[in-house]
Amino acid sequence: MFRKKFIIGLSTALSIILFIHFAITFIYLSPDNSFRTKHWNVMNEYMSPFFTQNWNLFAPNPVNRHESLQVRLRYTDANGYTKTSPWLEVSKPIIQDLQKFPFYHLSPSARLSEYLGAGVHDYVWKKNKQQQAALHSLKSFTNQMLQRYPENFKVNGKIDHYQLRVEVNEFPRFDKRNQPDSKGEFWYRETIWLPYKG
Amino acid sequence: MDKIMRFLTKEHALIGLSITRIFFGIALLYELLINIPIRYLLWGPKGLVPFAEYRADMMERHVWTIFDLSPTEWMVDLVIFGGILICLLYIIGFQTRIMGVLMFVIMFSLYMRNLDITHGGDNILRILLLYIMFTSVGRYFSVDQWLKKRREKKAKPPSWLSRSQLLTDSKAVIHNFAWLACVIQLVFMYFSSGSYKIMGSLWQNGTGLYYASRVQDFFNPDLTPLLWKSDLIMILMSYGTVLFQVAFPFLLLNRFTKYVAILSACMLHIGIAAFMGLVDFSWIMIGCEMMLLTNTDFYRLRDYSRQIRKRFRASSEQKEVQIATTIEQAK
Repeated sequence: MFRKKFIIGLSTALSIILFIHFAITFIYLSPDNSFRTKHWNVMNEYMSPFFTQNWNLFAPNPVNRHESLQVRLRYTDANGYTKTSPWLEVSKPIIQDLQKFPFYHLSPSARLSEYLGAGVHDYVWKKNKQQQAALHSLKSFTNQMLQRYPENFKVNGKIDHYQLRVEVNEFPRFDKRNQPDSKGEFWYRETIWLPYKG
Repeated sequence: MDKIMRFLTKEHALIGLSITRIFFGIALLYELLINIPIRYLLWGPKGLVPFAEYRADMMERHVWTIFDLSPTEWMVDLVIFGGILICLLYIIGFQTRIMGVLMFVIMFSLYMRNLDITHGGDNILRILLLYIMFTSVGRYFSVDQWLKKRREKKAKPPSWLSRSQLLTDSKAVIHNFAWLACVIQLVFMYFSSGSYKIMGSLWQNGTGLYYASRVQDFFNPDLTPLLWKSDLIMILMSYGTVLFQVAFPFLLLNRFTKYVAILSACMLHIGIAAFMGLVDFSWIMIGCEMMLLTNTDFYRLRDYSRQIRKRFRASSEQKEVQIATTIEQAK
């Protein structure tokens, strides 16, 4: 008899816990509404860090443009002249590496692309704090690339500054989908010159 | 009442969860192995997220991970190579419960150490590893089970832990609720993703899949352009994706529609892997689908495949007899 009572009691307790947990998760995942906004801090406190989640996978709209990071370097050459390099690609070599294989995310570049993709997107489209955080990520990424892979950013001199820009390529829309990316529109967003501490 | 008791104290979906365990183990093992060359860049103290920056962020979130034990590169090595060992033991099902806890600790630590390199697959893996810890994922295809059977053959007396009926029952109840939590979480994932897509204009006009697959990060130069050949197929696939994701929870309510849901999910994820290159994400998701099948489903599947094999063998034997008769007649 005790066994039965215990099992029923345990099951009831677990049912209540699951119900409350998933009720909170449901509201946490719901689109913006007044209830969610009102109780967001409490819900976020509960969900973080173990149950934090976001399932906006390609939603509400998928990104519909290529966003790539480029860098140019200002350096002092052997004669003491200050020179500027052309724009060098940061994102594209990573993307090219990913596309080498049929199942191209089977490469360490996948994680780098994830990092860069989020940073570049937020730098162009987000505002204030989020944009600043994205710029910080891009600076960190570029610094790491310049230090770890100097052969990809070779200049004849000592680098003292660098400038970042995001190239946005609005590739052909659905009705012109057979056209190449180059037929789409291009526009850029640049940072100021940033000091390079090597 | 007895029926309810039997239902509650019988562990469900043991085969499916064991397969999910193997899928999850391989997924994390793959991530650790493939990122060995750039481990310091991704998770190192002087990497993309320097240790001080990571620590400040975690202090705000009140989070601690294994990386906090030491801000050095050997700590990264310990997590990566220790993690590889844990994954291997988890896959083969050795000390599965302990390995399950360690798998979660490793996954959580890696996830929190650099949040900017994570994707949806990591997110669901991190959450499900927490729930799955409380299930008996080592009941099939595991060294633990093999050792248990060997002990039973040698007629060694069971330990006091396994003799206690109340403890065994409680373990089963916890297993069942943890499994239920995994299923509900999966349902929330699909439904949430699908309902957000409904709000998007590109999914509404049926072009969502085109844009998602053309973005350079997900573009497979050999395969993706084949998808775009027909407007109709492209549009139907876009609508089909959204419809499937929203319908997923309801399809699970009936045995036959559940099979449709699982089959559709596997096809969707194989498609995502092939055309968009998201192999790791798709692998994790297919692993999740396995836990939706009960033991009875797997036995049914086994019987069905046996029948097919039998029929195939019978028809090929019949053909052989026919050929032999024709040859004899020709002689």
